[in-house]
Parts: sequence; C-alpha cells; structure tokens
Amino acid sequence: MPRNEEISRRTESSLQHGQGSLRGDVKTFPYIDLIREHLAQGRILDAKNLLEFARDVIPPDSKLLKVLAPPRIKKSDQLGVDRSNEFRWLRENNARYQGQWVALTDDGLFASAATLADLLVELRASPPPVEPLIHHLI
Amino acid sequence: MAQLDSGAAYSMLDVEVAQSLGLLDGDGEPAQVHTRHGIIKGHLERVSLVLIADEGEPLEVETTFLISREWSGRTFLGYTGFLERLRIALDPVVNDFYFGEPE
Repeated sequence: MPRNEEISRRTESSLQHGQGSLRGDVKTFPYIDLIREHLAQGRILDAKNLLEFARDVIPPDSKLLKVLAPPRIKKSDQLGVDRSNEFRWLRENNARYQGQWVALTDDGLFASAATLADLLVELRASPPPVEPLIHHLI
Repeated sequence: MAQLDSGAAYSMLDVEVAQSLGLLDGDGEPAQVHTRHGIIKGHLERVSLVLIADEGEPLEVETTFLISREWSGRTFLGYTGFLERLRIALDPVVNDFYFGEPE
C-alpha cells in the first residue's frame, strides 16, 4: 500500500476508535511522526486534526504545539502614518524599479538597492528623517 | 507590504525578509505547500507582525509562517492560521482592507 494511503488509513482508524478502545495504546502510538508526515506532505488540516485528537499525549515542549497553535492576536500601540504619497509613487514607478527594494518616504524615493540586505546597509549608513516604507517591487 | 491570499494554505515570507529576520536557517518543523509555482518545501516558524491601521486600532498577530529558500514570491498572508482567525472585510473599489479581533 502506498505510504500516503497507509498514513491516512492509520490516522482515520485512530480518530474513529477514539480514546476508549485504544486507551492502552495511546501513549505508544506514533502521533508525532504521523503529524510530521502530514506536514511534510502538505496536509495541514490532517496535521491539525490529529494534533487536536492526540493533544493529551504530545509532550508540552513539542514544537508542533507551537507551530500548529492558532495565532495570538492582541491590540498593538504601533501607530501608522499616511502612506498615500508612498503608494502613489509605487503605482507610478513600479515598472521602472521592477526587481528592486525601495525605501520610500512622504517625499518619494529615499533609497533603492538590488537586495534587502544592501538597502538596510544604506539606510543604516544614511538614516531617513522618518521611518520609511520598505517594499520589494516584484 | 504583503499580499492577502485567502486561498493560500500558509502565510509565507519573502525570502530576503526571512533572511533579515534570521529565520531562513531555522530548525522549525519541515513542511511543504502546493503553489502555482509548484511544491515549495520549507519549515514552519512562529512570527510576530503588526497590522498597522490607517484608522482605528492596529493588531499584533503571532502566527506560523512557512519559511523556504525555494519561495521566489513576495510575502503572503494566507488563510490557515492567519486570516481565518481575524474578522476581515474588503472594499475592492477603493482597495481598503478592514480587520479586527475575532471577538
């Protein structure tokens, strides 16, 4: 049987049986391996469903619990600024600077470079008076 | 800036942004995703970002991104683990994006 079908069959079987009839085998069942296999194959929902089913037997320090956890959302105090001029510049200059990283302020283009690393070096060497909008034109 | 993609399974970072954040060589869980560019393999990392608001309250979101050297596109904010947990609305006439906490 192809490996993917075997994994899906084992997963489905484990979910159907629930904790009752497999209670004795819960702690030895390779849930972590199966979850990782689901992730490696791009089956995110299968990975999340199996994690939720086996949550009680997953070690609390497992990285899987962190990366498959729902996002944490909270209010931020970071204020935005009006970027109308920057967005207008991007619309007008998109083709001309295609492929470039640009740093924009209200006055227009402050700096540009082929890579983000080079742009950040430029900005550190000559900081703009305000925090720029950095964008990659691709 | 990032692109919203409600059809994207994962959120993904521009590879240069990931590199500048020190995430490119992380040891997160291996994962892959099917995209229009083919299968992209990478690893999962927890990333914090701020949705800055032109009006109203900004939100800080900590969520999982797929980090990959194979990704040649821009930063995408996908559905699973990001958009699905926000209250969102789009006004395509003026290209406005509304967002808010789930409750």
